[in-house]
Amino acid sequence: MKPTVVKIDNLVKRYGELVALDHFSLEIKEGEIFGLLGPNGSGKTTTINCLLSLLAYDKGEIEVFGREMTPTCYDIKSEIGVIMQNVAVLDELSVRENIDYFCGLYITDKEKRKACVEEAIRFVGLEDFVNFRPAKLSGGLLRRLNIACGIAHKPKLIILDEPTVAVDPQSRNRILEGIQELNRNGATVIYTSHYMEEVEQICTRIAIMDKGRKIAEGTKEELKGMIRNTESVSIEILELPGEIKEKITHLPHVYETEYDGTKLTVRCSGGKHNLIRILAVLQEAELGFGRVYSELPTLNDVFLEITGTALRDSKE
Amino acid sequence: MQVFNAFLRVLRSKFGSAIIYIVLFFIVGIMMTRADSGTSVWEKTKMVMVIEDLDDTPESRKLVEFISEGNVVKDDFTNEDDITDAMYYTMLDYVVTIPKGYAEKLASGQTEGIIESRHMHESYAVANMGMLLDEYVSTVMAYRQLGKTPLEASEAACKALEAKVDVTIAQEEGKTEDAASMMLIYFRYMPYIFLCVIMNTLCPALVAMNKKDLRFRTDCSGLTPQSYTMQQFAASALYIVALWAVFTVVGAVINGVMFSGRLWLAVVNGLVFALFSAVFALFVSEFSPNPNVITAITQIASLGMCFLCGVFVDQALLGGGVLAAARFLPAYWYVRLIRMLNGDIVFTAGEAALCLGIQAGFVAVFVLLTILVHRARYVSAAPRKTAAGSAA
Repeated sequence: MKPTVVKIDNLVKRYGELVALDHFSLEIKEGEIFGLLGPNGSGKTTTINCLLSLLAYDKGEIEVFGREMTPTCYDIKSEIGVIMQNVAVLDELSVRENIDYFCGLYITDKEKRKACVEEAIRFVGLEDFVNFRPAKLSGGLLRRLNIACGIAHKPKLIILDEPTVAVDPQSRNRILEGIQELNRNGATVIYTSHYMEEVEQICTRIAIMDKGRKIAEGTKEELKGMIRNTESVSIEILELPGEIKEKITHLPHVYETEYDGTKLTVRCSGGKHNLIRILAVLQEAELGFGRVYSELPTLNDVFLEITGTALRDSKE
Repeated sequence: MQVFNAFLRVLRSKFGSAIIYIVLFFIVGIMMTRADSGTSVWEKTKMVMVIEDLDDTPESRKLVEFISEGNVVKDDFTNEDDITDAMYYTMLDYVVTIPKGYAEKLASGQTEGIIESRHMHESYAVANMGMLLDEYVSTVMAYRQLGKTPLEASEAACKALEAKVDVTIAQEEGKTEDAASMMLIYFRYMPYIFLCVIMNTLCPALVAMNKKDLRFRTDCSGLTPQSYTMQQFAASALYIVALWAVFTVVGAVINGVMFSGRLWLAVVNGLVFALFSAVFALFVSEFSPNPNVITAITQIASLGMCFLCGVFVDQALLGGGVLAAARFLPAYWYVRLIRMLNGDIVFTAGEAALCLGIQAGFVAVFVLLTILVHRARYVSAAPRKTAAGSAA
């Protein structure tokens, strides 16, 4: 059994009348890449701020590395690396000076720090830009610098709060690969995002948040297993009589059909050969159709089924 | 010392915007020194004049000779109208007419209307010429009383009045010596340069180091807030003291003075004002202004304070209302002490201490204001530990 790195118990945080965190609990084990998934305003960043003791909270307990986390736990803080959504670097310093500065907040030994800085530069692939000022870097390179500043001191726990917002796909992939590599090197990672694809791609365990509450937690397979939807079949069809739609709805394992005038979406729960049965009905009725595709459920489906709203459509 | 080093690097990157002020200040300082290097030459003002000798006697010719000495005498005017025009257009300063019977009047001792003169524009030189003619006649009459003939008396008066007198500028009691005085003038302008340089460097550096996201990142680290603040304070203090020392030493070098006596008070005065400038920059930085706002505040604060408080215009020339308002600004007390040290107003140790004390008071007030603003904007949002153990 791996030791617990982070334990949040019954956390409550209110901003006046607004409940930002509503009896939120969490346990993260060593070596995990733990995803906090939720729409904007669901309480992800508030959780991180409370976890880092940067924000006062109203109720609950937080333990990091088995010890209660308080604002003055500097020894615990020195084992944590934080990479926030906004790029937080000094515009007046070069890439190397920036990494050295932030690394120096944790490591005082010059030689050790120098080695860490060079390793971080190599890790994020900024070798060719070490003497550049941040203003000269592209958005993707800036994000990499931001990450290097957060991980140069080799923390045991790395917290990334939406590090890929407004990042091009190429840089995003590089960042995600980097996070996985950090995890392989022994770091426990907490990754918050509202991009479900990213969370699905890299996280070993996921908690889905909404309105300050944890609505589901588990591996991605466990989460998908929590919902009825196991397969969504989509068929492009220009004409669909009501009785045919009704017939499809009553097929085995089908629990929902949706037709918007051009596309028929059929959601199935369990069973095999659902697509063949649906197409057989359409052929029998001699209806022509276009593209046909079948999709497995996503975390968005999980969120949709649990909350009734799509993850991407949720507003702050 | 990571924050200390980074802060100095950030300060260095901001220094470019202050260099123009520093270079201009030193150039003006050097020019002022060169402009008054103690080799002033005093020359008598030469007047352009016409002398009409209607008497044409040896006595009148002696007078013409006396008046002509050191002045430019024109004899190319043919009529009165030309002379009047020339005077109107300031091509001619003075006209002396020696009326007929001049020698006879000298012999009989009559002085009434003995010499006639006219001019169109008043000046010191014109007034001086009038007095010189009166003095000449008085001297001739004095020699006549001694039994000399009119001609002998005229010759004796010429000799007596042409004697040159060496002029020395007496040092007013309490006035400082020349180089020290120049140094004090240099010191008088220091509030402007301190405000401009410190506001343009320290303020943006503090804003850069204390950006919300950066502070967030720092607060997540193992560094205590106390250590962070102390390192920033140490770097700022080092910078301010270095700046003050450079300006003081360069001032001493270009003015060629060694610090002694009351000049040391001016040096301390400069340090106190530099501290005020630093604290003011710290206060402004608490509001995280952008560079344009910093520049605007710098211009308003430096120019406004320096004009009101007598940095650019001597306090003696400022109106009572202006000075009354200026008393609420530290630069007024800075300049007042400089004026005291320069002998412009009476120096008393008590009032000198008051000037320094009031400036120190301004420093304390702005430190207090900065702490209040900081607490309101930053500390109130930070977590506090409750008795129960959780952050609340």
